[in-house]
Amino acid sequence: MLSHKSITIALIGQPNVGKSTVFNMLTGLNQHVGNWPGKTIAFKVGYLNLGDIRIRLVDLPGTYSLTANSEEERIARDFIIHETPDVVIALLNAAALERNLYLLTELLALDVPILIGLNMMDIAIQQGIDIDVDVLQTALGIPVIPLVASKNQGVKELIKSAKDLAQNPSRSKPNHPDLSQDFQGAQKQLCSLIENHLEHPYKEGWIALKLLEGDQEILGKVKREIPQYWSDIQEILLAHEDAILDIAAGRYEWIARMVRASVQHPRPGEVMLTDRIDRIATHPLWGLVLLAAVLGLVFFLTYTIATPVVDWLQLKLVLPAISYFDDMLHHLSPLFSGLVVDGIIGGAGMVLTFLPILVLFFLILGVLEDVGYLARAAFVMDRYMHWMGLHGRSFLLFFLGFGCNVPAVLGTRIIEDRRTKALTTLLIPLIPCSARLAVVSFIAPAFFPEQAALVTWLLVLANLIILMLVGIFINRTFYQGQQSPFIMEIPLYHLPNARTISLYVWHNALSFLKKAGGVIVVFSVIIWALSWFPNGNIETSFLARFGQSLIPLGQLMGIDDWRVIMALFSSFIAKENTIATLGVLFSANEGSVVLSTRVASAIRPAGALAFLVVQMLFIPCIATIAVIKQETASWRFAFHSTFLLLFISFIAGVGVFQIAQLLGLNY
Amino acid sequence: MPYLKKNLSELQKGRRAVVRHISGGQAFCNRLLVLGFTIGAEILVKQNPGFGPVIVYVKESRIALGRGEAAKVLVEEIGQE
Repeated sequence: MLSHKSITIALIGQPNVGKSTVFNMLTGLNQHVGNWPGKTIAFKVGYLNLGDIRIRLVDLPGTYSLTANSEEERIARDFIIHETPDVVIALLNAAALERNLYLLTELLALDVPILIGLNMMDIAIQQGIDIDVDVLQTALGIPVIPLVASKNQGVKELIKSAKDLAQNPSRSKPNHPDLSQDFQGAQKQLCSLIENHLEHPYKEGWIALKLLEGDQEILGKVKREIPQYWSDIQEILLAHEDAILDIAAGRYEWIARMVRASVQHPRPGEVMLTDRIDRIATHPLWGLVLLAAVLGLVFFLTYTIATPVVDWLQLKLVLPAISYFDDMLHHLSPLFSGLVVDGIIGGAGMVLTFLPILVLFFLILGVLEDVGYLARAAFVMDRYMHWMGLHGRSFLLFFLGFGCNVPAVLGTRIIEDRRTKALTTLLIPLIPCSARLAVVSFIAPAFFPEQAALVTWLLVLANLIILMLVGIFINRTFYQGQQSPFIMEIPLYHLPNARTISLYVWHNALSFLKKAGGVIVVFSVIIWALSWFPNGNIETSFLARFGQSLIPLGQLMGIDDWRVIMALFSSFIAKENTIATLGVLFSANEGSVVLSTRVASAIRPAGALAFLVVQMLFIPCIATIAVIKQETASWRFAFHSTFLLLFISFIAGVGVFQIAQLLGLNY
Repeated sequence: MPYLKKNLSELQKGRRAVVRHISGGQAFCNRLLVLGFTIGAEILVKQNPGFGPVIVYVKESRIALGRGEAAKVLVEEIGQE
């Protein structure tokens, strides 16, 4: 008999269990991505119909446990407590069943109807792990559905069983892990103290358990809401100070009992493929060599494949659009034509032509992530990141920053620790993104035709060295050299999944378009307006006046042409703007060769080198600043970050020019 | 014969050991506990070059720990892989 027409099912699981794959298979594009109220973590809800039942499927963030140690964990447990879904599907990794069952022991304490999806059955079989699903199901008292989500096996059965369970919750009669005798007494005492004092959805038993575990959020809540019993509660807790160690051990003992009859492990001694690859990939020396090779390959592939596509788009789409609108509008009004052609189409064209580089970069990064390599990269870089008080995870974001700083800043969400997160965010803009590299690889050959590749390579190296020095300096002075914990699961290698990777590329490209696209077009229009007003002549425009007023500063680094200074400032909107601005200001739309020679004749080599250095280190683009503000929720932080970069680039520019002059680079 | 207690960062690659204690704050302990570093859990050191982070095998998965974190896990050696 049907009890509801519409049911809510929550999907929960540890990281790397294929939760998104299951969610995507079930809901396809019929999903909605938003943010949890007041949180920065994505909220995904999808809908599907099964018979005449409408299912609302909520994808909870991946968490190892349900203790309030991270935002993910808090969101997952608050959802279950406050929104009481009809069924919770716990998605577990069959190849690491005991570890995954830990999350189940925490779910059981919340008293919701549970169904287990046992994913990655194929990997478990490959590793010689033999799981008897029926025996496991009987032992746990919970329905268990085996599946291989990456091959779409068992996913339909999973959701159908979840629906059946929602309509008939008595099918799940779970066994519960018991607390040891010692803690049962303490739990009862705590329960009697907090009884009838806490508002509805919270159950005393669970609250008492969390108090014993030392859960900071629950401790705070109890202290706030029932201060009259706080000293009694504290006394009980002090008597069981290390309870968490025993409770966790007790849970794992219970898990071991549950799986004893149903899971057979292979005999040890068999060296797995993962171990064989890791002998090189995580080796302190060969791991670094491999990482350097991988990095090199990423850039090589990105630029050799993307550059022709970018040129093609420019030639076939952007330039024809420009001449089409120019012809159409110019005789109507030069003002209007300038606005449309230079402002809007110029900006949109930049976004468009930049997209292939980003898509390709994300594609390669997505493959590396999906096969499991990135965790190894974080591991080999961890010790060097410690010099700055950071750890391996920050390195992954720096890597991402080479593609675009915007997703790298957005990615700082994966760092739990506030200090590490702040420092990583501050340093990301020092990573030369692909737009900056594109500018340098365009301009460097004009100034240094013989040694362009060497100069580019040295510039990238200089950025990384400066990043490291700034990181060490800030960590020593502002954070007293603190270190933050590095704890990370190293997944097994596996074949990449096309669907997962394409969604990764899609989401990242989309977030670039949303976050950066609009901003770039708007600012492109503003810059155009500044170069047009007050009288339609660029030489006497507001922009020129501003640029000329900066010449005294520019002279310190050998840049005494206001057009070059303005090109630098236009990179504030988007790094690739520099080339476009030089094109407009040197009125050299005929082609890149003409432009680069004209620019090269405007400043001398020492100044040119300083210009390239400043270009690589200059203030973050507006989109990066916008996401820095969003992620840190602080304008102050965003301003400090901008000012820091301005300061560093100025010092570096002056320094490079003065040294280059001393060395006689001024023919 | 009883072995001396060591911390995890002192164990060489290929050594097996049992976790005896974890020092550190509640949040830190909890993160390690849920990953399987419970008292009595058996671990196998997969990678420890003597500096930098280590990789250990615990409860069917590989976990990377920073050197400082590994030093907070007290273990008792039980033999070789």
